[in-house]
Amino acid sequence: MTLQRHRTRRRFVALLGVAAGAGALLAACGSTSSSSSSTGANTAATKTVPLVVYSAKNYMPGVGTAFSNKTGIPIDLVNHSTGTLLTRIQAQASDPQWGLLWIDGAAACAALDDQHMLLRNFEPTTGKLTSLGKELVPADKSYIPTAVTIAGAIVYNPKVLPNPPTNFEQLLEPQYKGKVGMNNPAISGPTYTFVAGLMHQVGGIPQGESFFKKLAANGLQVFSTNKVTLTALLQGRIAMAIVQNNAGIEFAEKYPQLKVEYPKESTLLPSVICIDGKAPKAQVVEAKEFANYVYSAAGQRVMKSVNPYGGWPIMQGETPAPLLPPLSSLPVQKIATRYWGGQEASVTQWFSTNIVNG
Amino acid sequence: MTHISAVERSVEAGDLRKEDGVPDGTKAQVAAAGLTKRFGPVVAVDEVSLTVAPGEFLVLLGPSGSGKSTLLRMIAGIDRPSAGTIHLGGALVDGPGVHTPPERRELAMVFQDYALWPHMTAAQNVQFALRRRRMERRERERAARDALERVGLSSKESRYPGELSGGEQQRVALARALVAQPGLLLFDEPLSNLDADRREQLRVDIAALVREQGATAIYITHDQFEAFALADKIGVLDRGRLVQLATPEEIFRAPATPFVARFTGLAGEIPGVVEEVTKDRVTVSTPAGLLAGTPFPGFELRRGAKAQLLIRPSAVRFGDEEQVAHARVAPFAGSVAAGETVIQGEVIDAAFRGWGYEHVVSVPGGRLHGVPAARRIGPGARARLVLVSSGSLVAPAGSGETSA
Amino acid sequence: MMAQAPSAIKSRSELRQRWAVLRPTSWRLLVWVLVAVLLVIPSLCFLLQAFSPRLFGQGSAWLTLANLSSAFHQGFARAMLDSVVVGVAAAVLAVVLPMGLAILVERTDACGGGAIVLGLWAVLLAPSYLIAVGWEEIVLRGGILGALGLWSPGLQHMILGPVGVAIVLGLKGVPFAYFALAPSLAAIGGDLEAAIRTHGGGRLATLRILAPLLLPALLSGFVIVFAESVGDFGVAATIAASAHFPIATYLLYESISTFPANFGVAAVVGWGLVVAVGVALLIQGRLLRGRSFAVVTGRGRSSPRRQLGWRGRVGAAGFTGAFFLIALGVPLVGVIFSSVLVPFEGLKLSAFTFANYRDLLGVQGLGGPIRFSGEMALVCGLAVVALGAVLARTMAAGRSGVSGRLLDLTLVVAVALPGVVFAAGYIFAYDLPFLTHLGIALYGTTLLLGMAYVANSVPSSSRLLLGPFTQVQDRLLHAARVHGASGARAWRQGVLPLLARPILWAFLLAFAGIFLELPISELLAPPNVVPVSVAVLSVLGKANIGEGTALSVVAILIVLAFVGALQVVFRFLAPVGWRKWQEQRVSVAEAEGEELASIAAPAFAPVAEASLREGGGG
Repeated sequence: MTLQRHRTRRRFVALLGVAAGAGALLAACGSTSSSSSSTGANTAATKTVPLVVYSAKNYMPGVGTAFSNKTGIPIDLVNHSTGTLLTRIQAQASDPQWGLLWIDGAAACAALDDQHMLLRNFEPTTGKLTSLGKELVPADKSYIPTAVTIAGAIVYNPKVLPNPPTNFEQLLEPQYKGKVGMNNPAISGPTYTFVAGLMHQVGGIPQGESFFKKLAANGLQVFSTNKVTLTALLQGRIAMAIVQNNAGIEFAEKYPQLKVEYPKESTLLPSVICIDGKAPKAQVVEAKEFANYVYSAAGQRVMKSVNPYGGWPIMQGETPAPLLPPLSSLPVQKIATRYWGGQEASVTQWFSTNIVNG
Repeated sequence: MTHISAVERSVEAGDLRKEDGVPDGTKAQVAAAGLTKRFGPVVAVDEVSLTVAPGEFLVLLGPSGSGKSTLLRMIAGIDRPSAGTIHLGGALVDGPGVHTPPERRELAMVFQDYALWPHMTAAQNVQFALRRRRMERRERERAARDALERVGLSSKESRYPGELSGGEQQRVALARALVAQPGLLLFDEPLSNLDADRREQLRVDIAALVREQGATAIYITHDQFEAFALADKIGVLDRGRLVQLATPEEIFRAPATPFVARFTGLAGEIPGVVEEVTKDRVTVSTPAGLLAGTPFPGFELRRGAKAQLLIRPSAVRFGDEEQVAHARVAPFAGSVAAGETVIQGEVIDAAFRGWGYEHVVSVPGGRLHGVPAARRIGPGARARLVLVSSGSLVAPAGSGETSA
Repeated sequence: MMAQAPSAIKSRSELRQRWAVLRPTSWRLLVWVLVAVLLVIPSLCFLLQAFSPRLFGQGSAWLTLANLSSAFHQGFARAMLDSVVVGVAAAVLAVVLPMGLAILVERTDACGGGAIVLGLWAVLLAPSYLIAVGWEEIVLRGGILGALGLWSPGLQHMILGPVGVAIVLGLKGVPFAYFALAPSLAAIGGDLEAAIRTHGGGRLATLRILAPLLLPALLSGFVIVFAESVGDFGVAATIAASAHFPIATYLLYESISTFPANFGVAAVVGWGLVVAVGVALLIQGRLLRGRSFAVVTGRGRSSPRRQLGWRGRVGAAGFTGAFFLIALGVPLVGVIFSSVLVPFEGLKLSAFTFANYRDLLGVQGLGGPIRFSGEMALVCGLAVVALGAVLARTMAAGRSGVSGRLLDLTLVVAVALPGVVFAAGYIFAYDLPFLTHLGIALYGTTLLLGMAYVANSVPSSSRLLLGPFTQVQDRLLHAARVHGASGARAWRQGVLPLLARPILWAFLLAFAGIFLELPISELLAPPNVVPVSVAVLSVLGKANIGEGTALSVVAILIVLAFVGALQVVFRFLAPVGWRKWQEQRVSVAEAEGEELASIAAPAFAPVAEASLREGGGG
């Protein structure tokens, strides 16, 4: 019986030991992981306040690391999708915790500016904008354009769809019945720009609504996000996916059978940086420095190397990555940011009620 | 510092443990006063007061629903009384604003369904109870082994409860209760779940082991034979009230209420009308004749009132020719003296008991059970029964129906 | 010596007495404070915005019904109706199927009972969105059935629509209902059945007469699966979204994801879920009232196991096999295939490739997320199990009466609210200026993330532990205490080892849920921290669909490996006695007529206090 007790006790101790060991191991690893994406300049920057960056762009953490290495300012990176970041920001309305936001879509920043949340009248000085870039800068300089993408490129399989549409209005034709898929603008921010652009193209909101209703009658399929839409393309549920062009290009790069087209009219979707107007002074200073870095040649180089299809650059002297067709050759349109920004809530609601769930 | 804390520990209200963890034997007695327990509108225990002297074996007897289990649980500290106080060893353990938890009451309990921990061996189960004694591990193991030996299970100490029979499990539970030598032992119908043959053996063992240790014991059961066999004192409970607290002999001879009488065994009952009342004898006119019996204290009977004659098993037997000749046949009028009376009846059942036969005899007014005889008297035979008035009790009609 | 400061001694011992009296109440208070901080406050902060947007800076009105009308404009009514219908269908399915399984395991001698239980835990562990994706992979034209030439548009339409949603959710809910039913079924004494049969009742009569005895367990299983189904998020985002079948959680998702996020409407949807579950609980209470809860008496012989003939065995195996095939096997196959097949090439042997997994190895920075999520899941899982055990015990004890019932209600409602509600609620509740002034800087910390993880997992965990905890007889605890063990030791040594297995499973479930958790990770992860699910998203965000799916599969495999490892460790290292937890046949106390008896069935319905009048003691 004593032997039995011995065994029991030994087993119990062993069990505890394993549990404790596992816990300790993970704790040790965990502590390194939580600081892993911080920069190497961490130890030197004991007195510098970290800059909190909310980024939806794939430029981070690459640009951030380079920035920290150059300036010694550590960056606290929160890297999620645009929708998630905006939800966070809005939920933090009573006590904002972010410093700098880098996303696709000026409309969102315009809306933030309407709520007086952004730093105004700041423009980086380290680089010169092209004429297109200059057009994108708002009057009160509340956000900073950094590149442009296109909302509303189509990705398709030529074998399945030999005649892709050259104009979005062609989507109503019977040959495309049930073959078109797009994202839900209520969930995917850049998709709203596409919807807004299309409505602008057909003449306004009422005409846009009737267009989309007809499109829905023609078998339009709406999915939650880029990922689901592109998966549907792979699964064969749709023959063409309307997505943001950088996603489309990366996708086509991976699956060579696919091609990317830009029907008339594709809407310009600028990626922008905006700064929290209520952030503590030290962070504002650092944020400005960050924006300056992005505009500088060094910053633009890093952007291109880290995320070549992130968008067409808008700085003078910069060339786009090879796979991007020249912007001037594409049927692009610009839409009035402030106006359409203000309509986002009602349009997406209408869309969700009538097109997605109807 | 240490000194004060030691003193404090021994004087602390309700904590009976002393410095070295061994209980003080002279104080191990139980005193309950006005104990009441309510569950919502229902009163399970109603103003029960009793005391148990050190070393005494008290049995609480009563049918289901009489509150005996609740009472025991209050003494154990598992349930808190709604009113009343409990003193253990002279110290207050339950009272207004005071409640000593079970683990500090220096007692042990044996449960009806054994309550052994299924994930521990028999030996581990027993050793568990020793942890409060601050012993060396070897000592603990030895003590547990001894305890198991005393209950006859030394060969099964490394078995798990699932591998033991019901009787064996209860023995382990008994060993567990005894091993730490607490001053007070509580038994919650420990034999109810066992087979008949095991029951008697274990009952004897319980009696022997408890006496050997000199512990005070409170034992609850609904079985009167168990109660009579084990108890120094019996407390009979009826619907939450303690109706009688006395030695077994007294309870048998002089039950305080008709309920006690019925619960502790009757041959049968015969209804009738009261004819004559004297201090220690009542004459009742029954369909079987005029019969005499002893009244219950506190139950008033008047001439002409309806009554029941409660007949103890020991008060009835078959009459042989001689006895019948000497005894008087119960007249139907006039008076009857104390002593023996003869009534007529018809046997309707005979059961073989090994030593002889027990018969059920139908008499005018009722049936009498358990009438013994060495030879079998077949059903249908007419018989004469001798009734002894000192073993018959008279109660008002409709008094104290059993709660069962 | 004895005279030294007797008054001091007396007052100290008096204090001790008073503390002893207060202790259970103060424990209960602590439990409620924890529940409030973790669950109630964040949920309320979220829900209140339906009517008071100004509270957290989401609008200008202190009190308004505008959000309500807005929600109805957006199809809130239809979405709620759809959710409720699907929820009810799923719950019905989830209650009927386990009856069959439970009968097989408890009442027949069909072998493999242990495997069935194991399989059910696996069903619990699998995330619902993954099962949904798996079904998609199978029934779509470009999927497996299509590749095999078996594609059927009707099947696709059926599965990727309300029917499919109900089936997926129902199958996912089966384990909950099973763990509620099986002990009840086991506890019904064989004598009851024998009584029916000897009086001429056939199988149908047996079912009809015994069904009311199972009603508490059936109803509680129904309610919990209903709550889980209406609050499910994963299926909403995949199947329901593209099926023109709006359900409540999708509407909530949309409201939060738009910009500007419409927390008001989302909160209205949240209230809808709360009301739906509240109504379900009310109905349950009404149906159960007036029913005697006494399912068993302690005297019943343990139920006999019916011998199955070979036909019976085949049937049993077929039934069980079909169930697990549909519930688990099919979707898993679909998911794996989607990460292994090259698209557009059909189901040829050459089309199989592990390129996705190879590419995954090349993706930088995955070790960090896996380690972080692993650590969080470990620590938070332990916290979940500890708190869940305490809550289960509180509800099982039942003596708290109103308190227990309220706790029950709170937890069931919490099950119905999707994780994103907690996440947003945590931001609202804990990112407040006045808290920072007080020095409570919770927001943006890993602690807050951990709290949210715990809050999300505790309701399900405590439900799963409720069954085993109700089964543990109080008598074992009392036995420990009357033999000198303090309350804590009595629990530790006397009772917890018996619950070791269920606790282990509850921990593993919490671990799996937290490791793969998404919405809370998205909204609350502090800077520089990337949980696994977010890493998956960012891989997918780079349009690497195959790799993204491969990563999700790898994440699940990691979880399964951990589960398996822990089970093995437990088997070999835990003391023998811990593994011998037999299902205690719950016996009702030898009824003193007025004695309180715990309910026999681990009814999710609050343990009521039943008076039993037992006729004729033995």
